[in-house]
Amino acid sequence: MENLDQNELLTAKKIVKKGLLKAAESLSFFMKEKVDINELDFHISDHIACPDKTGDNIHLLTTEVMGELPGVCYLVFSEEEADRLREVVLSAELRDSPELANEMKDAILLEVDNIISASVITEFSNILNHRIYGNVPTLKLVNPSDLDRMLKERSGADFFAINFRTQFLSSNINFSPEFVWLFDNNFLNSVKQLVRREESLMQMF
Amino acid sequence: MKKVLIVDDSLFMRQSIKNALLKSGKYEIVGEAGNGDQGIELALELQPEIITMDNILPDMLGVDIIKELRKEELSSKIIMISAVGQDSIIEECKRSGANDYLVKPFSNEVLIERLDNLN
Repeated sequence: MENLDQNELLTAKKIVKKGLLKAAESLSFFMKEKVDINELDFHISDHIACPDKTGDNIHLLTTEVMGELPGVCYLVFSEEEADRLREVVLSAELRDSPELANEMKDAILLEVDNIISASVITEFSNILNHRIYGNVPTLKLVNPSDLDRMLKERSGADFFAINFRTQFLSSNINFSPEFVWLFDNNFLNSVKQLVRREESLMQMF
Repeated sequence: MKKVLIVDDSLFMRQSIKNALLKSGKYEIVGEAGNGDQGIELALELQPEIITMDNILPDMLGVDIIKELRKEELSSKIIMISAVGQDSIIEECKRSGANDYLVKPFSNEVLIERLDNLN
């Protein structure tokens, strides 16, 4: 597994934070209020702590990151958080049609996941200068032990060397979905290359 | 009223775009497609004045659909509507024949303004 020196680690954390702040901005758009991110939990390891959610209907949204920096991201909502999001996002027109509103239950979550994961991917892609994009997301209802097992299966494989997670926070309501990302060594190598490019530029001036 | 075809795999997005355009009173929705193949088929059949096109569809990328449609000499204005916002991808879509590129999320007002400005 690759390692980062102090400077590279700092750069990696800055890039990740920038991406996650962008995601919080997108989520704020949907929630119609300010959403922030909690402290960033960033690790270069193949172990990841399971998101702190309870109940049998944890909503797990998965987006595979495709292209030059492969990875996977998970957006995790409790059932209450998922319902809260649906309630806020569903427009008056759609609320008037119970049939349509019911059809939209999963579609809303999938679209929110699509947009906020893409916000992060866009930041990474622009900063690291790599072509990456999120595939069509999927939604599964899981319990905490399923969630733990699924995350371990993906993060335990050699393929994923870097992981980070954060919690979105809203001041007015109890709403704190978790966002978990796993990447492989290519992400670390990209950060190293970026730091080297910046160092070369500094030397020129 | 201008005829619009919506190509997006997300039911929620199709519905949201449709509601916003109908509410404006300036656009008529002539078709909806949830994947690339269906999008190409409907675009060629319906010849809409405007196509709103997602960039990541289950069966193909929006940019490849645009290339295909332009190869067929379809003259519809195409606005990409996507969460994918990388500079390089936006440029590639425009080079391939997209007339505009709108990054999600956006308000209904912005959507209508961008469609109004497609000339």
